[in-house]
Amino acid sequence: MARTTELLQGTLDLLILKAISLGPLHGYGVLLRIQQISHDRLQIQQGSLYPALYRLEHQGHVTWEWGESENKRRAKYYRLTTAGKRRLHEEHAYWRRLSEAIGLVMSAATEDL
Amino acid sequence: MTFLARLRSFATAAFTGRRLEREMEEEWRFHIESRADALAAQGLSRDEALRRAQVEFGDPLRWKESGREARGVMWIYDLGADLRFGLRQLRRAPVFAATVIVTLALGIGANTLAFSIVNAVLVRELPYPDPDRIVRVYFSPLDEPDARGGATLQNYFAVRDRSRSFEFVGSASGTLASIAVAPDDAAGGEPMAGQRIHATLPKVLGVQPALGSWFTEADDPPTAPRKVVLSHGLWQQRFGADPQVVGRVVWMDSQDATVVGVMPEGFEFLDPAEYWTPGRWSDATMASPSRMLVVAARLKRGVTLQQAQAEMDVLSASLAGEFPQTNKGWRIHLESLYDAYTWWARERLLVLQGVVTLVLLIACANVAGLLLVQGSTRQQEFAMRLALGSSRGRLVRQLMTESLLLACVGGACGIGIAVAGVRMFMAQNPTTWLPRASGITPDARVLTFAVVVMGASSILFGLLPSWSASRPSLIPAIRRTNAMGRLSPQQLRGVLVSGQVAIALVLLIAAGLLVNTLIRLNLNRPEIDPTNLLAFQLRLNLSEMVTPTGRDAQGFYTMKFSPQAGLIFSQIQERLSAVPGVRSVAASIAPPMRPAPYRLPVTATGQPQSAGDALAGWFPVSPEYFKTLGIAVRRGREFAKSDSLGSAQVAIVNETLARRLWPGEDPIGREIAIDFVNDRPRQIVGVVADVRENSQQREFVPHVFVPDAQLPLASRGWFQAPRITMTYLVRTATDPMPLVDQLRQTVAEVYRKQPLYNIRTIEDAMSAELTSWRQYLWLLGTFAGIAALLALVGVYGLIAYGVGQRTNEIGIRRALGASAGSVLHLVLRQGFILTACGIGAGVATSVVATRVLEGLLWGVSPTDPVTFSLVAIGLGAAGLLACYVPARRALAIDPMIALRTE
Repeated sequence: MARTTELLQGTLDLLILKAISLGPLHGYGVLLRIQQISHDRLQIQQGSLYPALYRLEHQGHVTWEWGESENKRRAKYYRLTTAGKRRLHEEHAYWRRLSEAIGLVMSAATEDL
Repeated sequence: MTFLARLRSFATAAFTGRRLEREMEEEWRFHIESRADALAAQGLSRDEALRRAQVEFGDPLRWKESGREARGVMWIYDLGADLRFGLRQLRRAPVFAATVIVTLALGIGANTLAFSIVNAVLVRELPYPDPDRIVRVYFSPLDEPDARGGATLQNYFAVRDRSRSFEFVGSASGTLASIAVAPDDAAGGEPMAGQRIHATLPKVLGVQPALGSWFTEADDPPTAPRKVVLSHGLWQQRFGADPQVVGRVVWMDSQDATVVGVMPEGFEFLDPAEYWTPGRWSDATMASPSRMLVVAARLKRGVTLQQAQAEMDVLSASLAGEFPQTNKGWRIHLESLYDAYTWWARERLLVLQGVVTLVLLIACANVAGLLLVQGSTRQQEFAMRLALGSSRGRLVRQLMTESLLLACVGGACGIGIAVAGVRMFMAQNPTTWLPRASGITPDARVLTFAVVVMGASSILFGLLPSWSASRPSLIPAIRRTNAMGRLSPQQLRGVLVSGQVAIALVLLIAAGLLVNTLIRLNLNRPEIDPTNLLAFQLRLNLSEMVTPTGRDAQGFYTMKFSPQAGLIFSQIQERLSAVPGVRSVAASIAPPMRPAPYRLPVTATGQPQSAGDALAGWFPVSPEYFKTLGIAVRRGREFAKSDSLGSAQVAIVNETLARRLWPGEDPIGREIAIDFVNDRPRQIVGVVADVRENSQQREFVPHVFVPDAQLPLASRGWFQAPRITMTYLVRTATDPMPLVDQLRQTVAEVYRKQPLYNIRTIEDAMSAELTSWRQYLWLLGTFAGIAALLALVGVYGLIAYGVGQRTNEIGIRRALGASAGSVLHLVLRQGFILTACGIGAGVATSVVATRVLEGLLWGVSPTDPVTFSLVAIGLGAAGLLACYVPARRALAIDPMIALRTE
C-alpha cells in the first residue's frame, strides 16, 4: 500500500492518452503500460479504464480498430487521433504547470512566507 | 470535427446499441482472461486466477452504465426503464389507464379525422404545375359580388383576345352525352357528365394525358372530326384499361368520335367529368346570353392577381357598353384556382377543425386532471425517491415519459378511430358536397399531423401534473395557496374542470345553432308541394328535323324546323298526362329549386315615372307548370295552351320581381321588356309565390316566367340548339315511382332515341340537397357530444375525488351531528360553483365565438337566446347530476368507518 497511490481525479484520461501515444494498445495493454511506466505505483480500478476510453472515443480523441493480440485473440486496439494528440499536449502542459505549482507550495519553508 | 465525432459515436451508440454492448463484453472478457493468464503464470490455479481477475476488474454493470453515460446515450436507457416502469404503473391502475387512453383516443382521433378532410380539401396542393398562377375568371352582378357566374362565349373571347395579363386563357362547360363503345352498346345509353373545353384549357392547366394527347385548336370548329379524351375512371370501367384505346372510335350521342387520349388518375377541372371534348362552337351560338363557360387563365410570370384584376375592371366597363344585353351590371372577378375549388367549403372545414381542436383541449384538460389525482396518490413514492437522491428533473422526466406513453397508446387508438371514421365518412359519398373529397385518405401528412398532435398533447396534459407531482413536500395539502399565490392541485383541477365546461358549452351551443338551422331548413318548405311529385330529364336531339336557312340581320343562323319538331314537345306532355294515376304534367328547361340557368335584364315599360329594371331568373315553362309544382298563384292566372306563338305575348313574375318593378302597385296588366333576342314586350298575367333557388338561399330573387310555346323553337335550347335538355315534372295521385316504367314507355312512343335520366322524386331531391348539412352536422354533433361527455366525466371525477379525500372530514361532521342536507350542500356547492363558472365563461365566449358561424346559419341568429339558455340549462343540470352521485356516496359514509380510514 505504501508504494501505490490512489489516482487523482481527472488524471486517468491523461494517463490513457499518454499510454497509447506510444503506440496502439488494447484496453488490457493500456493497463499494463501504465503500470509499467509508473513502476506499479499507481492503483487503477481496472474496469474504470473502459468508461474513460469510451469517453475519449466519444470526444474524438481516440479511435480504434480490431486487431489480433499477442495470444492470437481478437482485441480492440486504441490509438490517438490528431485531436487526441493535441489534447495530450495541452493536458501535459497543464499538468506540468499544476504539479510545479503544487510542488512549490508544498516545498515552501516557513521562512519563505 | 470533435462535434462530428461525438455525433457519430452517439448515433452508433443509439442505433447499434446491442452490437456495441456485445463488443463491450467481448473486450472485457479479453481483459479479464488476459489478466487471469498473467495471474495463473504467477502460480495461481486457473479458477482462482479468473476469480481474482474479475474482482480486480470491478462491477461490470457499473462500468456499463458509466460507459453509456460517456457516450451520451444514458437517457435512452433511462427512457427504456421509464417506459417499463410506466407500463407497470398503467397495468396497476387499469381503470385510470383505460380512461386516459379512451379520452386521448377520442381527442386525437377526432383531430386526425378532421385533418384528413382538411388536408385533402384545403392543404393538398392542386394537381397542376405551378398552380399559383392559374386563376378563375368569373362574372357576377355588381350587387351580388359573391355570385360566381360563368362567361358567355363573347365574354370568353373578349377576355382571351384582349387581356395582356395572361399567358393562356381556356374555358370549359358542363355537358352531357352518352358514350357507347359500339353502336349497339346498351351500357352507353345513360348520359354522363363531361366537359366541352377549348383547346387552350390544357395549356392553362399544364396537365398532359397519361396516354395519347390533347386535341388542338384545329379540332375546335364544328366541321372538324369529333374527338374525345377519356377520364381515368371511364377508361378503366368501360374500356377495360385498354392501353391501345387511343385511336378507337366511340359513339357519343350516336355520333362517332375518336379517342385521342386518357387523362391521369385524379385529373379534374373544378367539376367532375368523365370525358372532355372540343367546344365545337359555331358562330350561331356566339351571341348566346348563356353564362355556361367556366373560364380559367394562367397569369404571365411576374403578373399579380391584383394587376390582372385591374385590367379586368377596365374590360368589364367596355364589355358593358358593347354587350349591354349580357354585360350591363356585371363585373369580371379573378380568384386563384385554389379559391375557386375551396371557397364554398373553407368556412365549414375551418369550423370543423376548430371544433375538434377544442375537443382535444377538453380531452387534455381531462387527462391533466386525472394525472393530478393520480399524482397525489403517488406522493409517497415521489417523496421517497427524492429522499433517496433522485433529482427533480429526473422525476419530471419519468412522469413526462409516462405521459408520452399514454399519448402514444391513445394516439395509436386515435389513428385507428380516424381511419375507421374516414371510411365511414367516405361511405356517405361526400364528393357530392365537398370539393376534392375523393382525395380524403389518412396519408403521410395526416399521420405526421397525428404524431405531432400526440406529442403536443402529451406536453399539454403532462407537464403541469408532473411538475406539480414532483414537488410533493413544497405544497402542503392543507395550505390552499402558498405565499407566491401558486394554485394548489385541488384548485388547479377546479380551473381545468371549469375550463372544460366552458369549452363544452361553446361546442354544444355551436352544434345547437346548426341543428336549429337544419330543422328550419327541413321545415321551411311552403313554396312548393313535394309529395307525389316526380322529375326526370330528357335530351331531345332535333338535328334531323332542322334545316339551316342562312343568317338573320343580327348575324344569327336561322333554321327551319320540320312540323314534327314542334309537335314533339306537346305530344310528350299530352301522352304523359294521359297515363293513369298522373294528375298533371309540366315541362321546363331547368329543374325547380335550382339556380336559374339564365338571368336576363327585365324592364318595366309603359309607365316611365315608375319604370324600374331588375336582373331576373328567366324560365320558359309549359302550361300547368305552377299547378303541377303546387306553387301558389297569388294574382291573375297561370299559362294555358292558348298562350301560343301567335297570341298576345304574356309573362308571369314572382312576388319579389313584382315588388321590385311596381312597389305597392298591382302588376297585372303591366308591360315588361325582357332583354332577349327577338323578344317582344309582354303583358303580366299573373303573380306567383317566391321559390328558393336552393335550400340555403337567404333572400328570394326575382324570377320571370314565359310560356315556352311563345319562344321560337330555336331559342328554347339556345346554346346547343338543335339539342335540348328538358325537365319534366309529373304530379301523381300516389307514390310516383311505380309509374316510372310506364312513363318511360310513353315517352318512347314519341321519341325513342334517348332514355330518361335523373329520375327521382322531388322529395328525394330535396332530401339529397340537405345531405351535406346532415353529414356535416352529424360530424359536428358527434364531436360536441364527445366534448360534453368528457367535460362531465371531468366534473364527476373531480367531485368524486374531492369526496374521497374528505371522507374523514365528512365522517367527523356527521359524527358531530351535521345534517344530511348540510353535507350534501357542502359537496354540491363545490361542484355547482365550478360548473356555474364554466357556464358563465362559456356563454360569454359563445356570444363572441358563434359569430364565426354566421355564414353557416339559416333562419337563426348566432346569439339565439333559446339555444343559449337550453344548452346552458342542460349542461348545468348534467353538471349537478355529475356532482350528485358522489355526494350521495358521501352521505352513505358510516362515520365510524370514515374515522378509521386515517
